[in-house]
Amino acid sequence: MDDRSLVATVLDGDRDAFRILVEREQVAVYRACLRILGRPHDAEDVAQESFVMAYRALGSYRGDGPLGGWLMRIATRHAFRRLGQRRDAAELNPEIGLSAPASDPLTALLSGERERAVRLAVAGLREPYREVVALRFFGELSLDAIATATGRPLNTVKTHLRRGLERLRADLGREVAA
Amino acid sequence: MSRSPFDPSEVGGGLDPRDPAVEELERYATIATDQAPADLADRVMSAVAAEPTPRRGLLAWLTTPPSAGRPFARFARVTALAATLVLAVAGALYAGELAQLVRDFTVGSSSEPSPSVTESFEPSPSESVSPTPSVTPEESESESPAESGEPSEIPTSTPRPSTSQPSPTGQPSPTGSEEESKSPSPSQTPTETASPTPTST
Repeated sequence: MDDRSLVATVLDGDRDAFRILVEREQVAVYRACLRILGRPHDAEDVAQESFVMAYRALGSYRGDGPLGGWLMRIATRHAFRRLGQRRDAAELNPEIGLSAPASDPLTALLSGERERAVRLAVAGLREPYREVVALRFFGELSLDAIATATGRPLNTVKTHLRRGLERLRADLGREVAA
Repeated sequence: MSRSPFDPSEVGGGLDPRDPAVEELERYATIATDQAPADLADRVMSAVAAEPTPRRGLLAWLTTPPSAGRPFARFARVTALAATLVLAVAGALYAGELAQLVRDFTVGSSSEPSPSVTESFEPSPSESVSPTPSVTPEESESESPAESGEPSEIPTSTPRPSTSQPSPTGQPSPTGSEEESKSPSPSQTPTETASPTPTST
């Protein structure tokens, strides 16, 4: 079933058709949320909420691009918003690394700090660079899919990605130096 | 789900194949490859069960949450729609005011002049007629030029009542003749002819 037919079926009142979309996209959506937030529990919540938001907004999907890209855009925006709320609150617990637990606690701590630096550097980018970088590296969308999902020309997306990486390089360099 | 690693050639050149930012992002993305929880789809569907069926068209567009779709494009469209409505209402009000102003101006210009013209011209015949019988034009003509010092054309050409009034009394009063000639109101002429005049002085 293609995306248009799937959406039309859901809009006709068949909620179970939405499960097809969820099962097809849940891994990509969850991973993107996990890469942005760095915490599995938060990523689960945000992924679930993103699917519900997508369900509510399904009538506004115009079918001019893959449904996965449209959904990924909703999820990454929601995850960055949640990250901003989380950063506003006081964080007493240190970040835990996403990589496999190391036998050496110091290695695990350094790895966790490095991952955190990447997350914060991406989150600290200005729009539209943050969105393009996140959709490409965290959502793993192709540049064509990003261009379709965001409604921007492909060359504009390439320029945004190149500039986003340049700024990210500078930010990560400062983090490493610090 | 297989990863699609980033290739620097995707951006069309100008990027170092060993860009440190790309390497960091790729390394991080490779680490964070956890599978979604097994019950995620069930949780989503149980949450969706409590939601009403999504709406289509304009209603869906207006009720779409800001994070879905293109929030800034939608904000711009809503702003443009609101601005258009405000301009339309303001334009209609302004056009109404303008029409009212034009109508008032048209009605006012046609009605106002008519009474003023009739009032100004009506007294003149009564004034000119009433004094003439009681006046002797020969004496007034000979006296008034000498008193006023004005050119001789005025008295000779117009034997008006103002110049003729002092004549019955026999005393030339320049002030009285000037006031009478300036005020053409009919109410003044009878009093002037009666009071003067000559009897009190």
